Amino acid sequence: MSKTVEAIRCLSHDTVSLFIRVLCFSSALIFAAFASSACRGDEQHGFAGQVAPLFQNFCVKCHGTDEEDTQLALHQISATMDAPLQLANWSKILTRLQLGDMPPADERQPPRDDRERAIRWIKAELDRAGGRADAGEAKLRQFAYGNLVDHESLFHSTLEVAIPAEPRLWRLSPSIYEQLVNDAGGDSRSIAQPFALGPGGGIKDYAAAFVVDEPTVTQLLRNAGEIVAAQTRDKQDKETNETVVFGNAPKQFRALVETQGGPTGGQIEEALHYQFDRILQREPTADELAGFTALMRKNIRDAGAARGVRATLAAVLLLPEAVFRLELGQGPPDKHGRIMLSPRELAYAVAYALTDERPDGQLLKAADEGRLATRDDVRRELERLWQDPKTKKPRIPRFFREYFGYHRAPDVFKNDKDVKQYSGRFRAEILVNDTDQLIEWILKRDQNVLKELLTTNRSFVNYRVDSKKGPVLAHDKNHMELAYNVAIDEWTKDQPMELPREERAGILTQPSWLVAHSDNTHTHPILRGKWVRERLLGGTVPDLPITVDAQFPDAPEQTIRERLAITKDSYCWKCHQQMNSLGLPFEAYSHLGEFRKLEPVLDLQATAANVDSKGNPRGDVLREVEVDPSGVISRSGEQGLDCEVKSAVEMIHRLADSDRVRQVFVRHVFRYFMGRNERPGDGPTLIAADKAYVESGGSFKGLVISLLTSDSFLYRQLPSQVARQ
Amino acid sequence: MQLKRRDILKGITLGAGATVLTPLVRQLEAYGADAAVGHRRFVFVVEGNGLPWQQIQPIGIDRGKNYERTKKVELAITDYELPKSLEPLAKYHDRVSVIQGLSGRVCGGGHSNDFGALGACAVQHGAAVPKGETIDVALARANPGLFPIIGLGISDRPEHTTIYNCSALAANKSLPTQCRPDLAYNSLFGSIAEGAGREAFAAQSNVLDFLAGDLKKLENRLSGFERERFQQYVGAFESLRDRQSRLNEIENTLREHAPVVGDKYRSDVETDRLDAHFDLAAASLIGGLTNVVTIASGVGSLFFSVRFGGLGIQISKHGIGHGGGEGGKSAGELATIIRRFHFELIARLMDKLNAMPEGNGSMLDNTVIVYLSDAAEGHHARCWEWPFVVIGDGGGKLKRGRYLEYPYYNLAGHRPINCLYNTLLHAAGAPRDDFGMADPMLDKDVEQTGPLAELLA
Repeated sequence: MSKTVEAIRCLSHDTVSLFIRVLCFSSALIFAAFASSACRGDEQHGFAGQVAPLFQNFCVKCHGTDEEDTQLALHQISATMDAPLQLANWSKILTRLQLGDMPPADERQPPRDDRERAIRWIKAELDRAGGRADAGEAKLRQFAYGNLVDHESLFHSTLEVAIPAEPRLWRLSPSIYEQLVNDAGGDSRSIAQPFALGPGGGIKDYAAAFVVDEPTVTQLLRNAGEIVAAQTRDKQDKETNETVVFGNAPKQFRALVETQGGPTGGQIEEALHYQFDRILQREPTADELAGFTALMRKNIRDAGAARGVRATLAAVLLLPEAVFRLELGQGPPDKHGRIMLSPRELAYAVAYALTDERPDGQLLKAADEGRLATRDDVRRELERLWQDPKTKKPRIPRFFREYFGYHRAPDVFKNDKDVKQYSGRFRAEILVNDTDQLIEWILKRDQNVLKELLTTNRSFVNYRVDSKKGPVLAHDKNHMELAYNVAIDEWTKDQPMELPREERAGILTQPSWLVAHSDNTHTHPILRGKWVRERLLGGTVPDLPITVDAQFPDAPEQTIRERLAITKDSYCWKCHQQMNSLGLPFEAYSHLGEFRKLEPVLDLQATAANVDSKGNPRGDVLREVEVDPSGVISRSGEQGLDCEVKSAVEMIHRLADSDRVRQVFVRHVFRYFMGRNERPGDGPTLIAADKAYVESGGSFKGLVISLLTSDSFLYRQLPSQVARQ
Repeated sequence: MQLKRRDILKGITLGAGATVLTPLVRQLEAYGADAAVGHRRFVFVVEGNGLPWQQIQPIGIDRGKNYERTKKVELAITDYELPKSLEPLAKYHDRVSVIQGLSGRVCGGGHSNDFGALGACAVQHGAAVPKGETIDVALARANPGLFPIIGLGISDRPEHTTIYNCSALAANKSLPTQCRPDLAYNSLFGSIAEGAGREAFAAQSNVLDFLAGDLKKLENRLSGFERERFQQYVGAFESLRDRQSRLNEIENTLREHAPVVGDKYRSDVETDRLDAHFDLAAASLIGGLTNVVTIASGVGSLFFSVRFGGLGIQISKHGIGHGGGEGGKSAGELATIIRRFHFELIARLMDKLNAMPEGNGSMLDNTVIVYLSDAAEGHHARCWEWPFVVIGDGGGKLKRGRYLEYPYYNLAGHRPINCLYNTLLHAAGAPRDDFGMADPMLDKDVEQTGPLAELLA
């Protein structure tokens, strides 16, 4: 089997076998098929002109007649796609082309136009034939596949203006929902969270990632009932000891159950005005008043006053605005077919971009008064919120947690016997808190933020500020300072502490990040290298083939570097070459984040000899081996960046100076604040954001405000325009 | 019963809710095809405050100390007398299996493993946030009913109406346990209720109708993928509304089997409310409302310290857990009294299911009841071992009447609770071999995946 076929085997299993089969044809067969199909109509003509040449020029070299599996030869692929198997096969071919992982990265690539032409043809034919043309698109909506969008096409875009996403709904985040519940008069601590973010790392809150399905709606209904129950609590009259129905409710609600013969239309409208204002922060429309009034009357008739009123008020909590962020746009399209978000939509978008709270009074007032209708209006409000110390902005630090992933350190369980020096309990949450504080410290300065994040040798070390005592050890018994190689008598209150430059360089050498990217009992150069490949270099690593049991060889007598040598097998190396050499420099840090020059391995001979007088084993004996922290930056995509490095610190400093790394960072900031992956149409937005960041001296605020005042944020593209992207 | 289920199928159309309903329809269709053997039902009875292995150990089977338990033990339980706690099951002796020696270290231990007990996964203590799907939910997915799963239970405070303590759809998505039997009755049998229950049911139907219609206005402003996603939201209302209709359609069945709401449904006494929940569970299973019920008796770190005043015990479970006795009875004796009460309720539930003919046997023949404590083996659990009682064979899918004991933690042949849950999934016709989270501290030689061959038929 050829090299490339081996590479293909490493792609996701369900697509691979098919792709091998599909491309398993000879050039002779291709043209035989073309000849026989030339007269079969337009689709055949398109196939011969737009698809077959690409196969011929870029695929059959490896997937030709020497391919063993010829179950699906070209002459059996009908361009009319009328059989279920053919539809499935073409759908999978389309996915590979859309994801751009075929031909493999180290093979000659088809011109972008040729690839896109082939994609368009296959997609159109699949649509027409009722096949799945969206599998690749579905993946491209996921954070994990964001890097598949060609970097050069984004940062060398020739588009006049950005082509934003289509109108969309973005489910409220769990944090925002909690706030809504509390604002509405409920207690978020006593209700179940209906919205969950997915497991795993990376940026979580993607608009396309979640649907509000039946179990979620069931929970929303239950929560709505509890919120309204809290709004309309009965009261025990102290004098008469009688229950006053709705005794603790606002007067607008109380009137509905107190009026003999049922509430008047005016009373119902007043109650609805109150509830809409409380839940949706707006007046109901005339249609809504009519609809809800009718519902109220029906419910009172069917379920009695108290129950009927409660059910109707709860329904307001199920309206789309209480469940989703609306980003539909309003008004006539501009000459590019784009419509701007409405002022109210912008008010919510701005608030939710920076905070977990609904828009404050000033934002809503600006929207209602027509002062939130331009880019400058949005910039003004963003500046105001950013500067306002009273406005909590948890979304900012959350980005850094999700981007770096260091906050997941407590999820990595450590064995008691490995953490004896930490009094037997490794408190990874303290390490996370230290890194949170470091990021906050860097953001306060807001200069060269990315470079500082990647290279600073300063660190908070087992540190917190007590409201009475001032700076203290975050925990004085577990000695978490040891993870930084700081002895307790070296710990100071003057933090962030300066750590040796040759040992620490920014977040990637923070114990929290190193632990988050480690295993239960050892380091994990693959996870660490994968992170660098994806989050700094913008590269991609194919999904783990399901046929691969990704385990370190059980050879405790070897170093991790030695154990990883097994991945140099050609089957594994196609993927591992993307990760290993970027991850191995971090072998200078233990799985607990400590800097080290020596790595303990099992001493087989000494262990065998370690027996008691009866010959029973007395336990393992370890020996220490010098760590080799060298690595290689390769396939970076930036001229002059690839090189060999002697240590993680050297590698990180080199990466921190890279334009590409900076641009990849900008791409991730885009994803977080837009709640979606960037697409080629976002090129102008990304170029402007990168420029704003550079020209502001590396200001994160400058970068975020550029993105949040971009066309990609402010506008939505009418669907027909989106389809043409 | 079969006819009633076909009735359920009959009315389901391919409206906008079809996408959401399709899996349900398919499952029901599958059930129709498999009606002769009956649908498998699962009941989880989870009791808080730990279950020391001695309290369910058949009399005459000795266990050594921890690391002395090096061998797997398989015995017929009918050769041994049941202990005091399990005596109420005497007439079903041959259906009872006791399983000792499984571990659940990954769950963490403490006063409760919260969602970890049924999830076989790590627990974020204090936050009561699930880290993954729980086994009752996984089984419900395989055996969906009109209500995929029903969670009932009591907490340490009578004022609690709904708590979130042990069942979860997925990570961060907990499912409710309904603590007030009267309110639970309304949500399950509200369609046939009189008075308040009927009214609440009607209002909910009106709201679902209204919202399903109102939301469609927004659809036109979306297209393609975005529209499809929104249609799922709209479809959810239609699906729920459809369930209300289905409940109306099976009114006769529900009337036949619905429990009579009496004082115990509104009682302040824990034993009364627990008794009522078992009534509701039986009626829901027999009435065809669901195939999976979880009854949580004082489950969860925040809810476990119940006082069983109805049994004449004034000391709380927390007090008992710390060795407290009263009235001349030791903590162990008090715990046995409480546990025995739970098995009395289980036996009564079994009697009801046994009285319902199904196929060539009874509904009980197609039911599996799993009893465990969310706090594993003790008040301050470490989860080195996790005792279970498994009753019934689920239509011949499990071996019944076994005493199974696995070697101690990390010894060759040891198995974690994940394997028991895998076994249940195999029995449910939805085999899975890697349910829950793996225990990273178990040696690689310890088999953490796959079912328990000693239990799976």
